[in-house]
Amino acid sequence: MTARDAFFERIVQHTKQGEDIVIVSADLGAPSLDVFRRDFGNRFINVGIAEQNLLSVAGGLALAGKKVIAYGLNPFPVTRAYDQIRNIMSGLRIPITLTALNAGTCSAEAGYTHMPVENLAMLRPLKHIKIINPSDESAARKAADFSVYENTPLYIQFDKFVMGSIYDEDKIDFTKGFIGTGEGSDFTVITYGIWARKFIDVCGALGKNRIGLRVVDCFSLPVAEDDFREELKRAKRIVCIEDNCREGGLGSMVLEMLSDMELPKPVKRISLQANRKKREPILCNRDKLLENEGLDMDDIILKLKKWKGVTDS
Amino acid sequence: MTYDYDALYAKSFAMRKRFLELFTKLGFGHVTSAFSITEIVITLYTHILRYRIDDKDWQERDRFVLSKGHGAGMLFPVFEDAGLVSAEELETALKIGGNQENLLGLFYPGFDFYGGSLGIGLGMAAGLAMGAKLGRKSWLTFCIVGDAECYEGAIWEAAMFAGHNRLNNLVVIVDRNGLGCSDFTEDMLALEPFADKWKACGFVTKEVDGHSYEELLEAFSGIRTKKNAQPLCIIANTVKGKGLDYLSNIPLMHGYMPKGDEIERAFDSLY
Repeated sequence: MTARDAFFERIVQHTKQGEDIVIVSADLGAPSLDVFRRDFGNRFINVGIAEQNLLSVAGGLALAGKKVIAYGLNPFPVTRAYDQIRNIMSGLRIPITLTALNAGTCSAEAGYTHMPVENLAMLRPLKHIKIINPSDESAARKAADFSVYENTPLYIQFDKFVMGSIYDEDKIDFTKGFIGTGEGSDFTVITYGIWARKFIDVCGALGKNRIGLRVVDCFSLPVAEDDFREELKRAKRIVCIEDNCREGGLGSMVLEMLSDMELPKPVKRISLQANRKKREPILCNRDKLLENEGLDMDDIILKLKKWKGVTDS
Repeated sequence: MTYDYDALYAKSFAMRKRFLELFTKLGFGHVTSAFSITEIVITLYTHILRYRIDDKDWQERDRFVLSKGHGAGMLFPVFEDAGLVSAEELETALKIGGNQENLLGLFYPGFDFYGGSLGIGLGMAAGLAMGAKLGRKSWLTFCIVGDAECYEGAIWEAAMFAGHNRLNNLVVIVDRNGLGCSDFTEDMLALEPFADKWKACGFVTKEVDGHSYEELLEAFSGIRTKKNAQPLCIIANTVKGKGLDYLSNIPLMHGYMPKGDEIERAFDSLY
């Protein structure tokens, strides 16, 4: 099951248990929402492809006492409705859960228009909004619980290729915001979303090749600073990986925190748009795009080996 | 129903004067926008909105969204006049570094959202009205939008939504003063035929003199008993800067606030 469907399946459970949940959609459905639309049809409100109104209507419903899930196709709820997010969710702290399908380059085949690669940079400066990037079903389900029980503005983006479970649900702590996996000491890979599983999966094989990894999955931003400081302190080399634009993303967050904490650590950022002069291809898919941007796994592992000075025997 | 129109017009003068007292002391504000909606706001708070002065948690109160937040200054004298805030609280709050905690609480009856980022409020009001429908609540939602605010596409997203969902518990009042910031609406980008645009979105429309209590109160009559399933849009024709002739209906006076010698002139000119 995808993280998106795991989220909505849990939302349906909460609704059946009596939670006063309303879903506002900008012309987007999901298999997991079919039950909600059938059983709670008057609480599924479709505003059409109108992302600004998605946020405004959601805000009004929240002020009327409803638990509101707004749902749209990324990047549009963020890029088109940024002012509504800024004023309604951040400025007034009205507790809307904004959910958006697509993260990073997962819909690259639809072109640059459909790649929310700047969303993190746009949302990180906004106060009071927690940014959740589920890296598995468990995080998505717990995000649904969090949205129902915590009266706070949330933004949750779903990578459509994130599915299955990595973690136990009870390990997901949205206050701490991250989970470290692996005890390798050569590199601390700081990432989130689809990349968490990619690196957890190769930890063992890389260990046999003298590349020790610790994978830090930042599934909820901002992370708890005190806990994250400890994680950064123990890191020997830090690699920040994301299929987002380099400016303002997760790598930027790590550099800012290292600077603020006065922790001198070697850091490399592997992300999109390192070469600003390169044009986006018109026809592409995620694999090809990541290859072009130096973000395919083989290329990343080569970079790690080169940094450590490991040569293939 | 009969109304004491003389008292209402006297209140208009008093509220504009109190606005000048509060905001010339503060040093900034949007006097022309506030004066444009004076009679609309007084009508709402004296005769239309349902709220309890001593019970801010009363859930059955009407909701009010001032989408054109630039006129929000006029709410404060009216709050004071209605007994919602004391003179002391206003004096304490309306200054740099003052205690604005209560103002940020969004709990004043009818102060459910403060606009200013134009285009957002109508969708919020539509969401509130939809929330009332879902919860089978009888309260109404009122929303004041500016005419120049209607250049924002989000207004029409919300208008289509309200009409489609037959939100007959929503009342939109457009402050049709005919001015944006830099120019007259019909010169920069014509809004007319304005009422037709609202009608096309599914609204019942009424057009009134927005400074006439007689016409405003007539336009609001029957709003709790109407049988049709359409939202209502009252287009209130107003004058930006009404009450101060030397500032009235002049482009580029949008963010103006009298300062220095101008303050005395403003008080002397007020009618």
